[in-house]
Amino acid sequence: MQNSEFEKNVQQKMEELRLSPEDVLWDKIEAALPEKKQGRRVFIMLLFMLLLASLGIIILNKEGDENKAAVAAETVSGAKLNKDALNKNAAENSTGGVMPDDNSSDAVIDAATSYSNPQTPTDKNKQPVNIISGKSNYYKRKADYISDTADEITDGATKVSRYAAKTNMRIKAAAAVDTTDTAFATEADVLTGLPNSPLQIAIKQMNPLQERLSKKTVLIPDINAATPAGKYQKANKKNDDKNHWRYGMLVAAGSSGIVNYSSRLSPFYNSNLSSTGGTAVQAQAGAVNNPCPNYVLELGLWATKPVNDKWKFATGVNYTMQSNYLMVGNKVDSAVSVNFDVNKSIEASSYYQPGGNTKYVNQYHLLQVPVMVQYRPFKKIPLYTEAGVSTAVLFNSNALVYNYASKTYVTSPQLFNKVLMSVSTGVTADLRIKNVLPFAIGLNVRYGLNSVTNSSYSNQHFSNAMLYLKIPFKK
Amino acid sequence: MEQTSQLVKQCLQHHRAAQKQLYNQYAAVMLGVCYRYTKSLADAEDILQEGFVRVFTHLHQYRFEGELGAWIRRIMVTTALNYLKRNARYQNDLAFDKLEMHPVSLDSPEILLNTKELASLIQQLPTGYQTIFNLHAVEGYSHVEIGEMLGITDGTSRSQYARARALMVSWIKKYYSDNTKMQAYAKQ
Repeated sequence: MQNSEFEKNVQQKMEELRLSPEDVLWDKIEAALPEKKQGRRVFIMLLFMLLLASLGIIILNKEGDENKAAVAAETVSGAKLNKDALNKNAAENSTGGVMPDDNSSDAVIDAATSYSNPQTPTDKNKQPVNIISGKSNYYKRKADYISDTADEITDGATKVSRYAAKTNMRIKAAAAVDTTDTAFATEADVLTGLPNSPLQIAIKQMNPLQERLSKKTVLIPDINAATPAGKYQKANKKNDDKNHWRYGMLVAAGSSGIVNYSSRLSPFYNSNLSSTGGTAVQAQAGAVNNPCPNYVLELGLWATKPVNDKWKFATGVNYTMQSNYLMVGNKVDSAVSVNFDVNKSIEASSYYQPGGNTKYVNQYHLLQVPVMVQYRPFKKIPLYTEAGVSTAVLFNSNALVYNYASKTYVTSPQLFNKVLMSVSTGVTADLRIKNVLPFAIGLNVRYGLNSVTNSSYSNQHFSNAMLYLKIPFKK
Repeated sequence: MEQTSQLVKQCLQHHRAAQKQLYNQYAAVMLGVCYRYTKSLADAEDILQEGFVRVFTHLHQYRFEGELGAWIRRIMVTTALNYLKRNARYQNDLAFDKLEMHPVSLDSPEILLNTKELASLIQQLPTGYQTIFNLHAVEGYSHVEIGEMLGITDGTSRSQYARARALMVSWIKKYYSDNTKMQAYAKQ
């Protein structure tokens, strides 16, 4: 009794013990506390995506203006079309279509004139030629295209940002439910600091590399265990973030090119002029359809799920804008019908002549869904190699494709394959700055498995090399 | 309880003012808790800082079962024990050896001292004794629970506590005796 009296008295006295901490202590605690980062994080991400979308619009506008300005001076307009010259050219061309005469500087687009070649109506190789528009219509269509493209990009960015916001809200709700439902998420777990308690897991996840190198763990049994079974609780797998899906956003940029097999398929192709005595025209035919590399931008959402300590599964959805460029000649604002294959005739409202010094930027707008596996070869280094396939839908492009028969560049949605498959590989590194949002950077190389163009004489495969940055939605 | 509930909800929304209010409400008491486990006020403040960071980052796990102060207090005790284990200055003193039980005094001299004097004496115990004394005499944990927390047998906990208690009693008597003599001397 007196023993318990001693404890009781000591306890009573110690309950009265009050000490004043130094004033700066709260400042230190406040500095260590997480801020309202979720809202700020989403806001910063949205701002970044808007900036990127604006940059894309500016670049597109600039490219459009360049194309427009470069060609405006060369556009054939204001002169009378020489019908006889056209007849003569059409008659001489056995494969049909308009054969522009480089010397027809007096040619003019007559808005009201519709012309057909009466001399060869039955020749199945000849096609009727329609002349329909003037210079003002060309500029109007170009402006509409640029405006539509800008709207698409803005819509795309808005949709992605809405999706990101919804995804983030769902993740938070899921985390709240998960914590509430899990029996392991009790006060005792927090207090005990068991190695697999949420506290320890959170500390470990803050610095995965250090956790792996460190040999120290503090093991304190559950002091509030009501039952023997509760003495040393194991982590509930629901609360183990290691095997959960993780989500975030991705931004990438790099170089985009075309692997061109077209010239090898062309009947006009001749790789060695000197040995075979080919003509300058044939040499030009081999070179004109070889676009030069340009840039690629990618923006999207990613999701990964660890399979085990070494392997991860990754997927996502990305908006990709790829580009390359060609050197073209004059733009002719004249409707044209060209054959790319047997029974494949393309109607275009304008065309470009080859052999010029005007830079034309081909742009391809795609929606990609990659499916990748990531492998971590070294346990202590957060470096992954990855490989996988990607399915993309090409929903818009202004790319020019060369038609060897008519010696023109034309563009039309019918010239492209809408669904494109590709393979990719790369490396990625998970990085983390202490107390700041973790992120990943990586390098990815992608190659198209099928041709972006769907003509038998045009076989072009995308090839990209990109650097990317991945930011998760939560730590 | 309603006020506590409101305060906790605001803290969960990362309202700094609410968090500071919670801190101000419990800091003095909790510093006293931490002080009893350490040898200095500076170490106690380190534990207090770490403990409150844990409180705020895991406040969502408080289920309003029991007093908030008791929940915070348990976090502080755990934080203090972790601190002792990883701090080199305390590690040597934490070693527990199996010793024989010593008879304890039946007197209750502890009531002769005020709070701070008693706390100061507790601080002067060797770290191992100090820890077990705090956990049993002040926090009220059983020797079985203390054994599980510290990785020792309950028998070791009992024997260590008995020694700690005996030391405390002898010191208290001596302290009081010295103080009384000094006061008597001062009056002369």
